[in-house]
Amino acid sequence: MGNYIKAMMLVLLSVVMMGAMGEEMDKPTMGWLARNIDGTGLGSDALTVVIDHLKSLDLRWIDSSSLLRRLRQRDEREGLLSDARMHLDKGRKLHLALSLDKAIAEYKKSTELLQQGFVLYYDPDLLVEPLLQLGVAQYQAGDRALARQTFMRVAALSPKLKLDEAYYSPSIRKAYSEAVSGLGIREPTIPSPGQLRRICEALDIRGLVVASVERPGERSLLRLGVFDRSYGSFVAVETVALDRGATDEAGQHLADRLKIAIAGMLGLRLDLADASEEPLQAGESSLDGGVSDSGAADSERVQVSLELGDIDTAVSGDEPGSGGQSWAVEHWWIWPVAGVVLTSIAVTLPLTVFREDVVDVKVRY
Amino acid sequence: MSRFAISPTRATPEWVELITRAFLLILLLPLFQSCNWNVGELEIRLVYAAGAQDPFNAQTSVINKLRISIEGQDSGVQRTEFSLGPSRSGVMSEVPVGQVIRVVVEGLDVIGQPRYRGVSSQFEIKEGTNKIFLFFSRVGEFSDPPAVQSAISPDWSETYRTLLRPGFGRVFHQAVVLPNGNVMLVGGTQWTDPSDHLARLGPDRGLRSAEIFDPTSGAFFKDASYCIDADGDGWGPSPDCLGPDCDDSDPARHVGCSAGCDDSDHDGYGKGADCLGSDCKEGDAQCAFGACCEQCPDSGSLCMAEARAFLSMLPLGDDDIWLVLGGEPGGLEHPAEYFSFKSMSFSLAPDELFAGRTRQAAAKVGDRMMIVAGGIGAGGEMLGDVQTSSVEVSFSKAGDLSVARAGATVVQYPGGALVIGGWEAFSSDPSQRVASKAIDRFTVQGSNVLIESLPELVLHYPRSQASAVTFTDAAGRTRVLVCGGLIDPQTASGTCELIRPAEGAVDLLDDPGSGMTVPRWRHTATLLPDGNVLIAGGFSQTTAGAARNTAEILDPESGVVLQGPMTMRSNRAGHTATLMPNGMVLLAGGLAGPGQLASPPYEIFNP
Repeated sequence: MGNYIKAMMLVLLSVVMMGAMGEEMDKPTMGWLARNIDGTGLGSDALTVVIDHLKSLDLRWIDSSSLLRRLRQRDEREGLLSDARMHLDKGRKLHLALSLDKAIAEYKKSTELLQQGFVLYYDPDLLVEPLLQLGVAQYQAGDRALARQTFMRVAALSPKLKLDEAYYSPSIRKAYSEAVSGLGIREPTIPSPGQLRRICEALDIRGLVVASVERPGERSLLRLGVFDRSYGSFVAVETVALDRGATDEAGQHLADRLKIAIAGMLGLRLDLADASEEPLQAGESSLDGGVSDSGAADSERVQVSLELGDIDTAVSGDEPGSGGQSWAVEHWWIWPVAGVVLTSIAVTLPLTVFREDVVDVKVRY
Repeated sequence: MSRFAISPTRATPEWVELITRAFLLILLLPLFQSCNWNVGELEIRLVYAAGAQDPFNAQTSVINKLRISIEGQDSGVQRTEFSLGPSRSGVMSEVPVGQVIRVVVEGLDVIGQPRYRGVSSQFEIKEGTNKIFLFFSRVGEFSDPPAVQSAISPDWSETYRTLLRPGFGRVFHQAVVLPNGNVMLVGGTQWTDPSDHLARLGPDRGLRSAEIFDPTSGAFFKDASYCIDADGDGWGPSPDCLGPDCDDSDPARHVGCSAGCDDSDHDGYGKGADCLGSDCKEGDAQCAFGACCEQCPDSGSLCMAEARAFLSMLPLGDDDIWLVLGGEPGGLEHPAEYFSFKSMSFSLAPDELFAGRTRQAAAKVGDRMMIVAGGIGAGGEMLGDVQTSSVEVSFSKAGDLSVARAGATVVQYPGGALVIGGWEAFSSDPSQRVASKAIDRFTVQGSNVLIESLPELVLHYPRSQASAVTFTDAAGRTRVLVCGGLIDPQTASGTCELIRPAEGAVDLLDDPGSGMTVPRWRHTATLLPDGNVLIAGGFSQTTAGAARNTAEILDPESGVVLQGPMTMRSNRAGHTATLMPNGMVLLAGGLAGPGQLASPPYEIFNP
């Protein structure tokens, strides 16, 4: 292979890779956080519509399942999960040795470590075991009041938990039952701004769209909030009542609202040529009046590119085959870095390790 | 329906992106494989024998294709063939740098048989421009030295010459293959008695110079002080530094022959821009070995301390140091000197090594022992002693030859050596000379050399100035083929004898068809790479006859002529024939006839 061809190939490769990746580099990143959406109900249908419509915004999205996975990875990198497991195991041994005070201390460390991370979002059950053990140890140590509070925390995390008769004594089971009796089921709702800011900072993203289905009465409400990390607060919260057969329309209305809010938040430009403001349907309510202001501010006709991957998994979770696309988009920074690294390797290796110096032999006669 | 008009609205399908990325990675793969980086060029310029037709003449050429083979010392052979074209060039790609290679260029005829061939010495390919001139000559023939037009190839004329120096020839000299594959011609003479080729040389009749032959280009390296001194006055025109060929009476000699020549003491030797080195004169100690090579009578910069013809030269253990032995006239007073390959210089050995002599027999016996036997002493007496030494060079007498003699033929074989024939009596009157049938065998015995004269180990005919060549027969036994020589001062022989050293026996090869086609003496016998023997030149008549211009190839075991007679480029006797590492034979110097140096001064046989 001629050297000129190789050199040209290198240049072409660099240009193509950098070009392909540069576009991704400049986009702001937003994440989805779905709460209490089972993926099969009306809320899921409406949310899917919202997600589809928000794809058109020129930004990078992290779907909900990816976001949770990244939170878990972040906790793993920080060593929180392993340390918590270590303290849990240590507490169990101490517990078996009836060193209750020390066991309680270990269980507390375990729960504290887990609470420092984001276990509550991606796997609350991880917190259940150390808390339950903590409650048991507290009960056995005679601190019934603390044990009751701990058991209530356990029940809040895992409302359907039943203590196994083979492992827990009748007194413990009774104490647990008494503690959790009368507790209602508290559905997960939109987390507090402080929690959301932690999430944004942990993942280094610009903001979050948090979705939650709530059922205050007979009807389900889909509530969507746009959280801006910069301000540490929501810039818009929209709620829509979910009616069977009207989820698409509800989702579209929500999307239009949120689109304006997100565009205003990120300084994106929207094409609003035929996006006339329509009154909200019956049952819809705006919880944040700032949305209309930011959305109406920009009526210039612009083009918004679509470079998003499929983020349907925000509701349904990771699906095999779609993870590569999502991962690639999430880790957009890998591509320019990889481009630089590969280009450097492609230049360096042939020049050093794999390089074989040759000469052409020319015979003149 | 969306209320936002968004354009474009088409997202890149995932599979397209995956394929794109895979494609990019695939593009990278070849780069991670061996990456050949062109860092230069090896230009092979073919050069042809003077006077020969252009081998590539479209009307007359027998060459249909050129085949280039790059034979790497460690990496096998790269080979390519290309047809001849108007550009008169061909290219072979990507020969690795840093490896030691040998280049073979062959001109193939229409049936693919090589009709011309050029073979280089081994050399290392380096970055940048590598340029070699490759002597390209007819296969199976003798060729004149190459002729290259200086105007076309200034590099050639700056580096090479195709004349021996001085005065274009030498005879009764010595030729050795140096460790780098080059051939060095040492000593000899160019002044012989027209009435007696073998007459003793008087003072100032030997040569001190040595010169280096490059087998690749088929030419001698030009050294800085080489000059063409047409009138023999020690001054010559370009390419030496002395300017025009001016003579002693030329007032410009001291200061004008060369601009910038600074001869402050007006002794004819200068410094500065001239080629003479420091301002010294003949007799100065520093002039002895090249600092003032104008002292070397033949204007060479590579000069022995003493002029020596009929000399011997033996490598010591490591091939760096060689021992130059005997020879006339200088060897009679100073028996030996050392030659260092690394420094390319000669220096005198202690005079006490052994008694000065000429026309002696010298050989290495085994790896570490040397012998110097017989010869003619400083007083003209025939010597019969055998001096032996280890390669540390400390000679002592170890015995005597069976018969004192001079001008014997000597051959070496693994573990031993033979001194064959020669003159038992050597008189200034040629008719009084007596050839010998004696053979003395030398073998290593411990740290000594065993000297033997076996009853059956004698020649069938007396032979002096014969040729002898060692070979291994089909059964792996060492054999020595002895051919020709003078049986007596008036009779040259064309017969051959086969010596079986281990058995101590000699067979006369007298079957029909055996032996040389013509009698020869002072010819050469060279073992070719194919195991046959090239017999070349030699005198046809006694004492003052003309030299032959024919050669023949013999089967060494039977002495049968396989090919010949072939015509050489010159009548030549008293020359050297050296098998070079590239498989070709350099026939250098010699006499064409009484008092007449062979011309061209050398020729090359391409087997």
